[in-house]
Amino acid sequence: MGEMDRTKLIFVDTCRNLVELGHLSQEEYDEICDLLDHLEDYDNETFKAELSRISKGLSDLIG
Amino acid sequence: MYLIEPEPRNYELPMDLSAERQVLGILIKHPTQVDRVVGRVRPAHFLDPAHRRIYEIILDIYNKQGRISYTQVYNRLRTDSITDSPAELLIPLTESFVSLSELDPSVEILLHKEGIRRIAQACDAIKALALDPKQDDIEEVQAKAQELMFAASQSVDAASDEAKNLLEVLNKCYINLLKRREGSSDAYGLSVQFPSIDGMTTGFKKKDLIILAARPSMGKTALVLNMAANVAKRDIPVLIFSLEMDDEQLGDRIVLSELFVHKEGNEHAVTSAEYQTKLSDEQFAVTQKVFNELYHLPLSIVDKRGLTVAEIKARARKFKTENPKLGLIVIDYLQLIKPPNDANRSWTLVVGEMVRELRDLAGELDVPIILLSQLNRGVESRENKRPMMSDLRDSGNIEEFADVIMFLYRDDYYYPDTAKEKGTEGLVEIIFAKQRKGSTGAVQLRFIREYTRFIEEYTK
Repeated sequence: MGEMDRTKLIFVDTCRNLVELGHLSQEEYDEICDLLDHLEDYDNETFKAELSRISKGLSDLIG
Repeated sequence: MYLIEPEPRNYELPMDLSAERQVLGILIKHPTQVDRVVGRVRPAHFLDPAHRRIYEIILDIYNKQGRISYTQVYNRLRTDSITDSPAELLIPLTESFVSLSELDPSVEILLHKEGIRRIAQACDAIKALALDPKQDDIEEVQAKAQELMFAASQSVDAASDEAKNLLEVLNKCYINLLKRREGSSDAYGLSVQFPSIDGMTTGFKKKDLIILAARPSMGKTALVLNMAANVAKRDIPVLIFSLEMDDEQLGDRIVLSELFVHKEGNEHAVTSAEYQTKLSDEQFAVTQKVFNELYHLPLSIVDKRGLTVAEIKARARKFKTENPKLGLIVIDYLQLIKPPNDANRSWTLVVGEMVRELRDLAGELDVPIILLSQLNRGVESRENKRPMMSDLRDSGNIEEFADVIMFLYRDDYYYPDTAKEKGTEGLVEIIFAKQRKGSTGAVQLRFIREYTRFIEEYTK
């Protein structure tokens, strides 16, 4: 349980850094946070699809 | 709060970072648990500043009905510029607990540690106060020290501040109704054994501040001493703060008042003049009998002049601790209470603040407090010299905080010849000008001045 939350935090932190570097917009970042908050509602494939919809670059990152 | 800064601490404040992380971790992961702790846990319960800030964010999101999650807390920490690396703060929280059942024990630890910290900090403040060379009034230092420790000992558990639903409130009212129907003695307030006064008040209520006001020498002290003695005769402890008369003066008045009871049909009755001069052997025996009747009364007197409200509060709290059944406090009188040193505020506000604190004291100690007050000369400029509420306003912002306001008025005070002609000498009106839990109006007693004794008018 704690492992997933840890991973989410690291992921959000990384996304935030990408925003500051200009590789992600604020709107994309907000959508990603919302996606993470509802992670339990998605299976793995749906999560990747949503992430791809929000930002292709990011979904490519997690392959 | 204290005049010199306390010395730097040479000890570590008690804390439990592990418990702080557990509480925060559980609340973020299980936001529904915030409802269970929000009334008990305050940000101050977290000693670590970052933890305290995280809890404040949780409360803020909760109050705005937002979604509490790690990402939301992360974003708030980032937005508020609390730290450059919120993830480093939050990651330990994700691993701080195993199950939900750890919440209650962790909350108890936080409450315990914070309680100990408050006491330790109060001790630091008391030490600084005691060692302050500018503090030369030992009793004031003791009063402030007691207040600091009392405040530190108060629980921050807000359970008693929770809203009560109407069912709960009406249940209490119904129980009181049944007690009154059964004639139970604790269904009413404190009887002072003057039926006309008790009839108006149904007994003075706990937590009430009762103002008894009149022009000087109208009989305020005599009336309140009579009431106090009547209460004490039922084995209910009474505490009197006498800022004007000393204990012996009050003692003599109480004895004189009782001598009146032994006057009727007694060939060896003792008059006031005889009591204060010389008694025959038989009169001495009558007087001794009165002393024997009064010795055991649980009536205590503090006859120190120049007390401040803080000192009155400290002594009253101490007395209540030693006498849990304390039933009544009397303070004679308001204008002799030493005000705080605050030249910037108007007298009206200063007096109002003092009265508010005494009302709060009544609530805190769960007893009625009777506070005597002088009225200024404005009364005398009117044709009808009966006091009114507006006469109190010149003395300060008193009426706002009082639950009951009683005035005394005697016609013979202003018109002695007319009163003699009419046979109304000694007739006293007790005017109930304000009563939050009862009606206003007036009743009459008769004042036997020689014996400083009030009696019911119909017993004359």
